[in-house]
Amino acid sequence: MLRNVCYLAFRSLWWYRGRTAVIILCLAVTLGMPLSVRLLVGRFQEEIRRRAASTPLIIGARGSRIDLVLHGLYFASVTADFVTMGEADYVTQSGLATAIPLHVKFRTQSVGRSPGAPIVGTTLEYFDFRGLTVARGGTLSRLGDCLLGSAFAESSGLQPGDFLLSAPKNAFNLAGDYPLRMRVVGILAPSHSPDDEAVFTDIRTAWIIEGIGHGHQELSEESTEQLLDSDGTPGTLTANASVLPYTEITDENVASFHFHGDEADFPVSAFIAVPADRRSQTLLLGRYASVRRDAAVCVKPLEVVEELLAMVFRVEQVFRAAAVVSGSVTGLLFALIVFLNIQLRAPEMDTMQRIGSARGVTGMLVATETGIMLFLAAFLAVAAAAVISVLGEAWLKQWLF
Amino acid sequence: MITIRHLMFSRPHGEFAMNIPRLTVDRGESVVLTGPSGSGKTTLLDLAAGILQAESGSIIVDGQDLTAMTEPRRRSFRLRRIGLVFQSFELIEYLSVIDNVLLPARISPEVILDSELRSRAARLLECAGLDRLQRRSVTQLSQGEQQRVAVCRALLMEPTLLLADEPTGNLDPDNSRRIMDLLLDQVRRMNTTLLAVTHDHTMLSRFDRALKFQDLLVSEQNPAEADRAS
Repeated sequence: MLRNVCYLAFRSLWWYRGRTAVIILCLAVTLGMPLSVRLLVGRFQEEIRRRAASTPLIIGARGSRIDLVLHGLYFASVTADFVTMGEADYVTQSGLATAIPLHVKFRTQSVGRSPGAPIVGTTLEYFDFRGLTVARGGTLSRLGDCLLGSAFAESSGLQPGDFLLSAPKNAFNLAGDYPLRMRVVGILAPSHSPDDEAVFTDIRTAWIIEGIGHGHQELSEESTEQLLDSDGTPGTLTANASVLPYTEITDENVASFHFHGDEADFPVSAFIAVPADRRSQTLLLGRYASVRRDAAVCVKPLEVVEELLAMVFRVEQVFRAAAVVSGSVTGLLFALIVFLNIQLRAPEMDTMQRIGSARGVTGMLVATETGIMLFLAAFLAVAAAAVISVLGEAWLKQWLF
Repeated sequence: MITIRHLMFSRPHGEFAMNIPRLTVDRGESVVLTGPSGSGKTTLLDLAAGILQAESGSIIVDGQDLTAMTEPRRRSFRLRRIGLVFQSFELIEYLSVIDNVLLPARISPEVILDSELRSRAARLLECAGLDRLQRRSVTQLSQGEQQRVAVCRALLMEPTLLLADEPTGNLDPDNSRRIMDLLLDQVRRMNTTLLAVTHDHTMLSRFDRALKFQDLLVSEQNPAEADRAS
């Protein structure tokens, strides 16, 4: 009997397929939206908590704690103020923690399908700390080398041996940063984290991009005329401005690169502190709450992330309330449609009753049609929510950070 | 085959009342009722089908008294033993021709839609000249074709009694003749009793018996007249 009722219900739904599709779509959107948001927020929360939990402490310039943590975890939003490398040295020399500096100020130029990636200047400890391994090529061995995150490598199409240009912060600032042509030496294995989207260099390479360190080009008469201009005065050579579209560090000129000033004064945007133990962590937090209070701020990323998630949760609550209201309205409209459908099909129901249909068959028919539409809408909603939660996670992180 | 005795029925608020002392139609006999609109012919068919319940009296169809049955039993009995043909066809627009014919088998848990029923439906459509239109939507059929589908549906369960309410009321003369051919051929072949209502006097001669509906009713002036008429 149920089979026959289902058959009749399917025939009816197919006959009125335009109307059926609209109803299913409306129900799917009503069910799918809150579900998608829940799944998306759930995945986002899980991911951001995992990243935060794996990072014991982040130290950076005083300011927004949330900005500092998002910067340290996701290389997002350039911090307004930098701390110095001396602060990182202080932490390391205190014996309480290992300091891993991060210099995130510049991005690469767009390559392939990639609009560019943040250039993360750090030390080799960062790779050990995050458990990052090189999948192809080698590791950083010289100034000007860079390692690509797996996702960036895929979207840019770059391979070890290729070159990559940094993007200047300001194209008209001739006295400031200058594009650096970096050599791709390796590609990191996927880690399903923001590291996959970044380009890593040695921190001193990042300082060169910033203009703190530089090299000197050796000019000679043998250099090509395109590169040089001679005014005829013996012993005097003048460089042609057009010959320098970027800086490049090569095996030949690497020795000429140097830094002016004390490395302890060089900027880092933040650094990760990995305490030796819980006691060291408490002591370090205490120091930055007292004696080092004016120098920098030390935060536990998980605590800050929980604050951020509490805000997200409040936004989600508002969204949920709106979804309940719109869901109720859709529910009422759906009930109205079912009611009107029953009225519209009263002659058909009457014919079935007159022929001798069992009591309740017509009710079963309407209920089955309603059930099929709800089931299909729920299926669509769940499928769409699953797709959105996967695809939307990256978009949400990009949008938020 | 159908025997009505002392049948009394009235609508609420005294709008309509019917009193039929006696009506008998034999097995395989085709009887047509004529009479003015609103006289109660359709009501009589509804009572004979068990759709309406009489106040008193008996309606015996194939040896079973409909007035003594519960409502669910009457439904079941109607589905299995009584075929109905309506003036406005009453086909389900979202079903194909074959699915409309098979409808009685799809709306009752007591009937199993097996291959035998499917071949019977196909045979009926073949007899009605609709075998090539089995999968077509009924909305694509002409009125004559639609009524032929309705006749096939009424005959699917091989009913012992076929009730036809103005079966040619919406059709042109040519289609009316074809429908009557189909109806009478099938009921004679199946030895089914046919009780029809019509306004079309040109069709009366095709039935075994034609009765004036008023003659069946008890008249205040002449109570014995109805008995003689039936």
